[in-house]
Amino acid sequence: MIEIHNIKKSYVSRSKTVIALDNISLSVKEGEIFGIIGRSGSGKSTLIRCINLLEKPDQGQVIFNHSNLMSLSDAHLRQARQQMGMIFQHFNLLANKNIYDNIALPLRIKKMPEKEIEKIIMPLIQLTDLEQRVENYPAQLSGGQKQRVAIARALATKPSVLLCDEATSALDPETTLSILQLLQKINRDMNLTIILITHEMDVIKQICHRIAVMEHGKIIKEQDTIEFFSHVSSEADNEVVESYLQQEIPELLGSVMTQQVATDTDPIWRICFQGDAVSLPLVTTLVNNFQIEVNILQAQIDYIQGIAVGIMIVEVAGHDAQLKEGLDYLRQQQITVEVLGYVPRNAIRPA
Amino acid sequence: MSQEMLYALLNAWVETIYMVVVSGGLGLLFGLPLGAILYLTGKSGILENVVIYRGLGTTVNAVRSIPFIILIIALIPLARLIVGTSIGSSAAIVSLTIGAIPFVARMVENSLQEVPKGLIEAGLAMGATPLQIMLQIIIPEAISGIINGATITLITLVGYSAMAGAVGGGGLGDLAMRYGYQRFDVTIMLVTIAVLIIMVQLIQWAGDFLAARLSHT
Repeated sequence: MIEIHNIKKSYVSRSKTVIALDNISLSVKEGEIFGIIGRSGSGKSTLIRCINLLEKPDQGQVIFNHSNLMSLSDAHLRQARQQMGMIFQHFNLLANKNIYDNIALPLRIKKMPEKEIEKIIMPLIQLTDLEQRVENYPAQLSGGQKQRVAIARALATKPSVLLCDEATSALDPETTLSILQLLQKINRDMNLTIILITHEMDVIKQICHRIAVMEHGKIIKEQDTIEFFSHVSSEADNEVVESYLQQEIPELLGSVMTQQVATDTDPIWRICFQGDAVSLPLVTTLVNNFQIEVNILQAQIDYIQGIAVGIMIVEVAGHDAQLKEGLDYLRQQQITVEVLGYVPRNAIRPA
Repeated sequence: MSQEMLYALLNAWVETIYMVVVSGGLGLLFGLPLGAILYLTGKSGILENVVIYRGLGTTVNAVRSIPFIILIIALIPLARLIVGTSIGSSAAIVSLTIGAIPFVARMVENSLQEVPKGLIEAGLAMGATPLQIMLQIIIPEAISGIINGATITLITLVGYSAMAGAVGGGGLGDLAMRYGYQRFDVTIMLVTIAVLIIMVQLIQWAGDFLAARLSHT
């Protein structure tokens, strides 16, 4: 549906060249919610603006519904943009137009007759729960209501993709949740593809099917959300990804952890499990059946779009043979176990 | 005050209104698009164009830097060319209009720049043309600023029209000069001032009312 091939974008400011996008390729499938996460300055804002060419990449291709937007004439590009909705962090509503006129704006730009406009808009007003607000002006609305107006406006032209630029970043957590639920409903009911950028991992957890992590103008990881959170990955993650997953090993242990096995060291395991495995009595089994001592350093279970994903970081102690058996047992249960390193025995326990 | 004087006052008042309304109207007619072009071609405008912006900007600054009384004298040949005479209210309208256009243009440019850039981005994302963005988004959003600018322009023109009166333009300024200043008729002077104050107050009040009415922020 949307394919980005090798786009580059750099800005020149006071003789300094800043590379905002460094050779990015991406493909978004029809009907999916694709999340791009990154810190400010990572290039995610530039990237989403390159999809509807609000920012023109220096090179590369942006393919939308089989046509390369970069090679379109201005008039054809405007037509293509009418098939893409966009919502913004600060809503960008017209303060001097009421809610109805705000939602009608993209259709008036398309020069649609007023009667048809009304037919299209009324269901959108219902969908976004704004029936009581039609005659109001944006200044009279709360942040969440403003974003709902923006969503209705973005959907007015019946786009096939919705671009969300930090759409919930100016909202409180509860309102964020309600906006995300609305986006999810739109995605399901209208089969609308959604691409969103955010700096909040919770947004990704809530609704995104796939995630791309951006840093310094590059995509450093792209994965299914569930896999991302359950650490199903062959390559080692870098610091940025680790920081989003919020599973750093406690500092005290990290400083003494080595990658070498030695006498009097205990391994540190990261155990990741998802779905039904969450209900297994893992620790008890390790202790009772394999005589392995388990010291839980960190544990959490997240529900990501209804699927439980659990991660535990543990220090284990026992005979090598028992440890190996325990490890095999876990892996038979489709549980991912990764040996993060080794720490001196009793490093965190009082002697 | 004699009936005659009252008639002269009324006549002068009508002349002032005529000058202010016509030159204000023409000033807006030409100044609005000029301001819009300055805005569009200015730095990071939708149709950014350094050559056009610099060219127009310099011209606007040049006209604005000429003291109005000098502008009137300098434009006498132009007035003669356009209205066939260099004296009277109609001749004054030529220089008032030329003086008002750059004034309006900068006012409009400033008001348009107040519109948040995000709205332009939203317009572009909707597939709007630059003209649609201008007419359906930027101008409606800047309307109260533009009306405030128009109010200030009209009030300035009331003052300028008095100056035009000094060099044969007619109007309240002319009346105040001839009777009040040259003949030491204090009553006429005070009445003229009172009429001018009321006029300015009315323009300001109407402008504020309209601006508040059209703004929903």
